[in-house]
Amino acid sequence: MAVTRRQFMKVSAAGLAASSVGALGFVGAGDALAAGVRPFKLERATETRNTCPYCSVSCGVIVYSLGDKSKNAKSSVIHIEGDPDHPVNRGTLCPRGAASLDYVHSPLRLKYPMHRKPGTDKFERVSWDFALDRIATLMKEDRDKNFIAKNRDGVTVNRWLTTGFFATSAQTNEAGYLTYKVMRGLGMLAIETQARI
Amino acid sequence: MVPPGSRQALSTGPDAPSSGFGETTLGDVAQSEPVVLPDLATVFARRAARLRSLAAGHELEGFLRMIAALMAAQHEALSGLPPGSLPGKAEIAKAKLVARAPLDPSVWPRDASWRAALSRILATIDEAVLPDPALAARAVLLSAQTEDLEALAGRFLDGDVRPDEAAQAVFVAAALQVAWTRMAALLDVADLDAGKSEGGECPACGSPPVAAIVSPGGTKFGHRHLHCSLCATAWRYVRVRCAHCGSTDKISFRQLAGTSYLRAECCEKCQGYLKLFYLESARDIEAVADDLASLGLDVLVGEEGFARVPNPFVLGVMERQGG
Repeated sequence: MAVTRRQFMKVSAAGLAASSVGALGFVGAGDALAAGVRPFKLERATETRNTCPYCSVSCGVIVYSLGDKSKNAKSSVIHIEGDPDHPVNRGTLCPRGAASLDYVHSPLRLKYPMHRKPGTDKFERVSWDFALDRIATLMKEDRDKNFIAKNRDGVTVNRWLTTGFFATSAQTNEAGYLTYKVMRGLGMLAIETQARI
Repeated sequence: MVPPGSRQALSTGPDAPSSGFGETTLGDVAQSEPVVLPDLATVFARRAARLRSLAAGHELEGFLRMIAALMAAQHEALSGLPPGSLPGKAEIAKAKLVARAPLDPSVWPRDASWRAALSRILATIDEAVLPDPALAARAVLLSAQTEDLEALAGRFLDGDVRPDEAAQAVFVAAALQVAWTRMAALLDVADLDAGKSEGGECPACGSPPVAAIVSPGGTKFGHRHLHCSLCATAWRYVRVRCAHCGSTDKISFRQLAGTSYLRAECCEKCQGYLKLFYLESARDIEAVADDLASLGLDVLVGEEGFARVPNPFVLGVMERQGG
């Protein structure tokens, strides 16, 4: 077995005794080291790159989470910071992005479609089908009522200014293209998406 | 009427806020040096001083004091090193063609200056900190023939040292570090391709990194530099990316509970790890010295099944990856 400076080696108490540490005459040093470090607990966290979802600037973030996904343990996000290597924000975050850890853990965080019926003061959970149908109906009503086909001078403008669309920041080129095609096709001008900037 | 003192305040403006590490926290675009070449005047002296300060009361105190003395001898050897050779434009271009670093030991033949460094290290090292086996290894090297020394250096650089040579290899590694550090310091940063390779090899000499340091404060906050195990060059490397296989997936870190200045960044893909030091939490950090003084973390991380590229002074017949 050869000694190498390039290949992977696992460090252990016995290994240190057999390494140059032991060979130089420091016998037992490895055991002392292992015994000294034994009382310490080893903390573990996973680091993941992601994109901040809160506006179209799309800052890079590093997300730290606890929990080993492979062991069915519940994982939880413990820290979010700006990604120093990301070309957009170079490690910085705005107050909203810096507070995104609290969004993640907020008890008020929206996890599924909710609906507050006219006249009530409570939100209740609804299905995606219901939500999408409802949104489409309301959008159509609003568009029929407020669509501007021609401006004062009689020039065709086809604007729909009373509704805006908030898309995501972690979007692919293709999704950005579709967002634009669909929403601009309806005449909408207030569109917030990564493809906006 | 302007109150006394305020005219000056109006004309000079407030001081730019600083991070305490000499970096401004406002205005500039965050940009770190892609490659930082070693500073010959301080590199080994700083290492020795840092390791000496870490040795007191350490479980490995004797070993750390010996390596600190070795580093002090490296500093001595460096200042008295005879002139050596350096790759020119043609050699650097040739190395680039085969995708190698200009000082990669497999493309750049070493000259005799490392042997001058070795004899000076062996002559000047403080004998009081050397145990008998270390003295014996020194005696073997002092009486060794040139061919044998060259053969041993070749085996060290290729990563093929025999287990019975482990003690001698430490002195040889120290001498080779001196020679390679001087060559690296004299290179032109423009000739080096940092971050081109998939893994994290040194852009100057192609060696694996010994540890990484994450910058503190200011506009360079969070930037990571890997530090070479052979030539003391540092180069920028993207965070949350395995320095061994380049994977960005399934990167996790391990740290001793209650510490914040040191983490082991583990890659589930290649089962390798690299230690990261955070300058923000401990500002005197030196990669090689702190790596040696934190081997305790390596023991615990090794028990979790992760392996590392060894520090050249802890070369060993350690338990290999996969048993």
